[in-house]
Amino acid sequence: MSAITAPAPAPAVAPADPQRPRARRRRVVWRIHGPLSLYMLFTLLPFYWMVMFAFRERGSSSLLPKPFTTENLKYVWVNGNFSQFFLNSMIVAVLAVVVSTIIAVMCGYALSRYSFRGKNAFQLLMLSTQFIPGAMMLIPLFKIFQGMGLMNSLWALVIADTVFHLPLSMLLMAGFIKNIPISLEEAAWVDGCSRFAGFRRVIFPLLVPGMVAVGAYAFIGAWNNFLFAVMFINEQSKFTVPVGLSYMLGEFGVDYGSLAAGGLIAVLPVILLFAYVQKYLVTGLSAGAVKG
Amino acid sequence: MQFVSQKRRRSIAVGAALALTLGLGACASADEEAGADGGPVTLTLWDTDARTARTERLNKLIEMFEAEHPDIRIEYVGLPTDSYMEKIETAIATGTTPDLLTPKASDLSALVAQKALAPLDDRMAADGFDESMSASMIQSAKSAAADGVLYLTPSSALTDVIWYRPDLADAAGLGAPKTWDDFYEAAEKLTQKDTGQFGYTIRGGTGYWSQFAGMVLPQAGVGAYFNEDGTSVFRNPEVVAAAKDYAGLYKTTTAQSDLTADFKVMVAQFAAGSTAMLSHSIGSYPDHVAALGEDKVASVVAFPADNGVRVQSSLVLGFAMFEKSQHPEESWEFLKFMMEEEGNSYWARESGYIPGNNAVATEAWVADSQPIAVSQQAMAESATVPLEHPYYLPEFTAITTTDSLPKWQMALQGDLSVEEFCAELAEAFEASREAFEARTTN
Repeated sequence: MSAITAPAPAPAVAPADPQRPRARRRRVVWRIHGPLSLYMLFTLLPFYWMVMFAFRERGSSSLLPKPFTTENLKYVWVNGNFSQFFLNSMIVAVLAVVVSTIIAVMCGYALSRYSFRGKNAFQLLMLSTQFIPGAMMLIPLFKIFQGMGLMNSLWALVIADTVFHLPLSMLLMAGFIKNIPISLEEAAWVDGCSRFAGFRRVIFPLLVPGMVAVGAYAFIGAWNNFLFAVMFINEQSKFTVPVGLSYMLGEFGVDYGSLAAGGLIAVLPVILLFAYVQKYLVTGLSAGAVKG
Repeated sequence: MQFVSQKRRRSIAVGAALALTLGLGACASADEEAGADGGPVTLTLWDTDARTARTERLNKLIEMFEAEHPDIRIEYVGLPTDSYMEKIETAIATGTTPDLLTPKASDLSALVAQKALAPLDDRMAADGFDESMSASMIQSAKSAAADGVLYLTPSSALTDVIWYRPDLADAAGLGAPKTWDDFYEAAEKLTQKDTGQFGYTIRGGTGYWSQFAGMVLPQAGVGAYFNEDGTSVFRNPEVVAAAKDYAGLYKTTTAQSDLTADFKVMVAQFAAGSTAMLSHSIGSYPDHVAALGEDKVASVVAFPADNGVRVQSSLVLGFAMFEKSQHPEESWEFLKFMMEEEGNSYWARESGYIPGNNAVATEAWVADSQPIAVSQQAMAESATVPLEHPYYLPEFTAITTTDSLPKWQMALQGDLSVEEFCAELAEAFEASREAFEARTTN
């Protein structure tokens, strides 16, 4: 005989509070957006300061760029010779990107796909070059460029910047190539490709994010390099943007309008570059950083 | 076959392009060197304070010089004001110095120690510049070098002044400060912390020494760093007392952030109207006028001390030629032009400097410039003595920058007493002088 038991009462459900999900959502939004907004404010305020000074007339104390003027930009571009400095910086940065990326891809491939004696020591040596301050290399590089007849030539900057950034670029690229399965290349070899053709047709398209990461690193390094430009160039018309910017800071005064306008010109290519390459950059850097 | 030849063609093209570009770089240097024979001589001038406006002025001056000397060309190279010494040191180390330079007296010690600059005494005497140039500037320029030789043309000078806001002073019922007591009173009365206005801005960051020495030693009435017995004046009670007064301005009449203020911050504060007084050279006058207008800025020189002596701090700015210049005669022609009336007048007037040429010093524009006029007036007083910085000491820069700056900041914060700070300074200067004398006598 089975005892008939009364069905257990359903657990009491509290009446739904229509305010609660909205409040929770609001809390989450504040938790995420609050700190982010503060961080953005902290990061963007210097940019705002720069834009304000660049487009504000000298002597104005307004917190907005008014009276609005483009005189600072014109002054810097024409009188400050930024048109020439900008061109020089662009030539140096683009060439440094091209040379660094090509060499980094070749060396990265060798480091990731070949085994040779002293490979680890070589990689360690490459990494340790990054700990040498640029200033320590000035006189040796100076002597080398002097001997090569490259002093006072933009090539000196291209070579110095490339050499300085290449070790890290190579290691990044090696890490990135290591992540691409060798079986993909082997399949290409089975289909009749040479090693180079296999690399070009199979590996190369997969390397784009890595190359963008390495290229962006080389571009920013070359674009911002002040020390080499001051040291290896002895002609006014061959200086680069960072040197031009330093002209706005004098011994006895600072021209803030021109400094901000020059800063705007200096930062614009980097912002545009990042806006374009950021989707590749994150993939490239993280992939290259996983394995060294 | 066709594929192979295409590849080869591409390789040849890339190789040729590389060879061409590398060749172009090398050729450019070769051409510059070849320009020396036959045509005009080209001199290279390195400017150590290359601001856009100054570059324009200097290029105009070069044009004036070249018009008078068609056989000489000057190639201007502007160097950043905060890193020119690294470039010059590298050039000296690699034997690639230019012909001409625009150093300050404070740069001479390092350059003379490396025998990089050419002495100018004989040339000055032979061409009569001993007579036509300011004797005090010649003396200052000579005393900046360890061997007492002249390496720098006494073309112009900058004096330290106290800039103040006459409009704010009037509103507070104060006139122009005339004594040290007036100055401290004005600093106090012009401080309104609730509105963010401070009476003074003290330099607590990089380059603090020029303001510290330029205020403390004049207040103590001391014009040198060493007493007659060889001890440092930073042991003298009147100097320590002045240093305590000066350091006492921090946070009472200045912003707390002045602890790290360098000249850019100080000038920006003054230009923004958040500070009413500032110690700086007359070189910042154009910036003050541009920011505030001519009627809202005025200067006074350091006041006489209790002993009746007025100590004036100034810095000689001129031109120098390198010892290894391939064209010393042509280089001297340029230096002469900078000291002669036409060049000196243009350069000093347009730059806001005190002219070194005695005839130029009597021109009307000198009297019309408020900061230059008050500086010259003070210089002419019999009770005025120049503040002689021992730039010749090889350790001068280290003592007054990296060595003592952290301690100065500790003294401002009260972590180190001003007496201890002064005692450490005295010890450092005495040790440096002792070592210097030991080296020179051996």
